Amino acid sequence: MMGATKLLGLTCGVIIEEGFERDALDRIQASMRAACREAGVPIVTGDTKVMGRGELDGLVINTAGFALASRVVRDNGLKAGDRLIVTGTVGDHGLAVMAARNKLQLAGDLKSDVAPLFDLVQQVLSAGGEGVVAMKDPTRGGVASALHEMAAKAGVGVLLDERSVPVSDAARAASELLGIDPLHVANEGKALIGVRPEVADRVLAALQAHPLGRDAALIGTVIAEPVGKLVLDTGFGRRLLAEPEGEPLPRIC
Amino acid sequence: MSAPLRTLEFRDPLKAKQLGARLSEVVDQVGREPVSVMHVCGSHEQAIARFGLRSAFPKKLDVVMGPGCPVCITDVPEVDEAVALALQGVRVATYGDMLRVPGTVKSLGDVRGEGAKVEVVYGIDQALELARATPAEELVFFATGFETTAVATASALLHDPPPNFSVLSAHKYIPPVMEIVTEMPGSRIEGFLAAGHAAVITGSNVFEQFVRDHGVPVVVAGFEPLDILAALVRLTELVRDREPKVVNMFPRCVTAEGNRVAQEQLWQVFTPTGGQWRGIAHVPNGNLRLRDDFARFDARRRFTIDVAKLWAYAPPRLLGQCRCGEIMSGSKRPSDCALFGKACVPESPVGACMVSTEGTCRIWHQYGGHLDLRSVS
Repeated sequence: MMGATKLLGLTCGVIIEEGFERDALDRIQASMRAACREAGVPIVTGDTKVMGRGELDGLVINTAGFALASRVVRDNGLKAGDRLIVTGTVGDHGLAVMAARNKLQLAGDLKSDVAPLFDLVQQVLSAGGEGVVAMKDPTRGGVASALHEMAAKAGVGVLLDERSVPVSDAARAASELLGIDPLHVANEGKALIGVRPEVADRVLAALQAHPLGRDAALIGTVIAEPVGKLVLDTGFGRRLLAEPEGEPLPRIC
Repeated sequence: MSAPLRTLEFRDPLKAKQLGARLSEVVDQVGREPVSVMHVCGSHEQAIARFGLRSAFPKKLDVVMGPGCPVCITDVPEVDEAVALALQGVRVATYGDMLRVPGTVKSLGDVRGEGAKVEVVYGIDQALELARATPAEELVFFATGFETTAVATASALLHDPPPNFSVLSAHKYIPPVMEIVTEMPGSRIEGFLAAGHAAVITGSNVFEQFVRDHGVPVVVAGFEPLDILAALVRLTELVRDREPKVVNMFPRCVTAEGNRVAQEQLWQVFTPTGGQWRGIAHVPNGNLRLRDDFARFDARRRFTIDVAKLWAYAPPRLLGQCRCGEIMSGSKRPSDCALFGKACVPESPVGACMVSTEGTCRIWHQYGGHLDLRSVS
C-alpha cells in the first residue's frame, strides 16, 4: 500500500509450535501458493523455525513485500481539502471472523473480503497520478483506526459522512446484531485513499470500473481541525469517532 | 448494495430534523430551563451518542443518563465474588463488557490474564453449551443486567440446566431505582424515558404505580433515532401540561401487560431483595435473588466464595475520588469529575462508568461528550 508499480517478491518467516498439525500446515501452504499465483508474486526468501510446545500459540507467519515504485505514496500525505475514498464495503472480514468464532448462525453471505489489491491500486495511481497523496489498508482496527493514524501523522482532522460508507447488507446485519461498529472492524481487501479534490471523481470512476472496486465511495473530507480526530456526521448530528481499544467485545444487551 | 441504514423507516434524517424542531418548540413552551428528563437505559445513551443526537437536542433540554447501565451498577463486591470464584479455580462465564469492570483489586479480565478460566459469552445459552461440553467441570455464569437478561437467566434455569451449571446473580430490577432517583434530595428530574426492551417484558403498566406515587410522567421509548426523538417530544409535552401519566411510544413492541410468560418465569425463579447499586444507593427490591427452589443452581449457596482474601489488599486510592454515583444519579456530568479522561480512561478505568460501552463516562470519552461539532466543516 505504498504505490508499488512492479512487484518483486515476498519474504515468509514461519515459526511453528512443536506438534502443530501437519494437515493444517499443508492447508496453509496451499492457500499461500494460491494467493501468490493470484497476486503474481513469488515468495523468494524466508526461514522456518520450530519452538517448543506451549512457547507460542500454534503458528506465527510474518511476511514483508518488496517492490519497485516510481513514487512512494505514504499514509501521511493528507492536507485539508483532500477527499477520502474507500475502495469498497467495510467490515466484512472482521465481522465474518467474529461470526465464525462465536458460531453465530447468520443468514446471508457474510465472508472475508481478502483480496490482492495490486492491480486495483495500479488503476488508482494511473487515474489520479500525483493527486493520489496517501494510502493505507484499514486492517486491524478498521477504517477508524487507519484514518486516525493518517490524520495524526499528517496533523489534520477528518470529517466522515457515515451514510456514504459502503457496508454490505450482511455485514450491516451482523454489526447491528453484535453491537459492533463496522468502522471499527478489520478489512483484508480494502484501501483508504486520500486524493486531491480535483482528481477525486476520476479516481472514483477508475475504481468503480474495476471488479474489486465496484462499491468504492467518497466517504469524507480532510479538515484542518480538530487535529488527529475523526468527526462523524451521522445524518442526525455529529460526534467523534473513537479509535478502537483492544478487541471489540460484545455488549450485554 | 442497499445499506439498511439508508432505508430503515426509523432512521430518516429528514423526519429527525422535523422532530428536533418540534422538540425545541415544546421545550420553549415549558417556559423555564433547563427541562431535565432522565433515561434509565444504557442502550438509550448508546443510541443517543452513536447517532449524534445530543447535538440535535435543544440546549434548554437536559437529557440525563440515569442508573441504566447494567455493567456500571454491578456493585464492587459482586465483581469481587466472580473474581474470587475464578481465583478459586472455578470456570466463570460472563458477558463481554463485564470483563474489565474493576473489583476491589482486580477485574475478571485481570485474573483471566493470570490464567484463571474466564469465558466471554454472548448469552446464557452459550454458557450452558460450555457447561454441557465439560460435564466434569463446574461452570458459573456471572449473570448481570436488568429485566431483559434476567428473564433469559430464568428461562435457562427452568429448562433443565446441566448439574455442573450455576448462576452468580447480580441481576437488578429497574422500577425501584426510579423511585430512589426521584426521591434523592435535589433531584431535578421531571420525567423519565423508560427502556423499550425492558417494557416488552414488564409491560408499560409496571410504571403506573410510580407515576401515581410520584407525579412524574414516564414515556416508554424504542431505540432508533426517531423513537427517541418522538418519545422526548411526548415526554416534554407531558411536562409542559403537568400531566403525569404513562405513555407508550414503542407500541410496535410494547403492550400494557407485557410478556406474561416471561414475567411468570422471572418471578418463579427470582425474588426481589434489597441490594447496593454501585455508586448509587441501597435500593430496596432492586436486586434479583434466586428463590430457594433454585438453591442448587445458586453459586452463592453452592460454593464458599472467599472475597475477604481479595480485601486483604489495600483498595485503590483513586476510587474515593470517583464520581460515578453522582453521574448516574444525574447530579454531575463526567466533565465534573477530576479523574475523567485523565486518571480514568477506557484502558485503565477507575469507575465502572468508564468500563462499559453503555457507561456515561465511556460514551462521553468515546464520542466527545457534549463537544459542539456542528460548526466543523
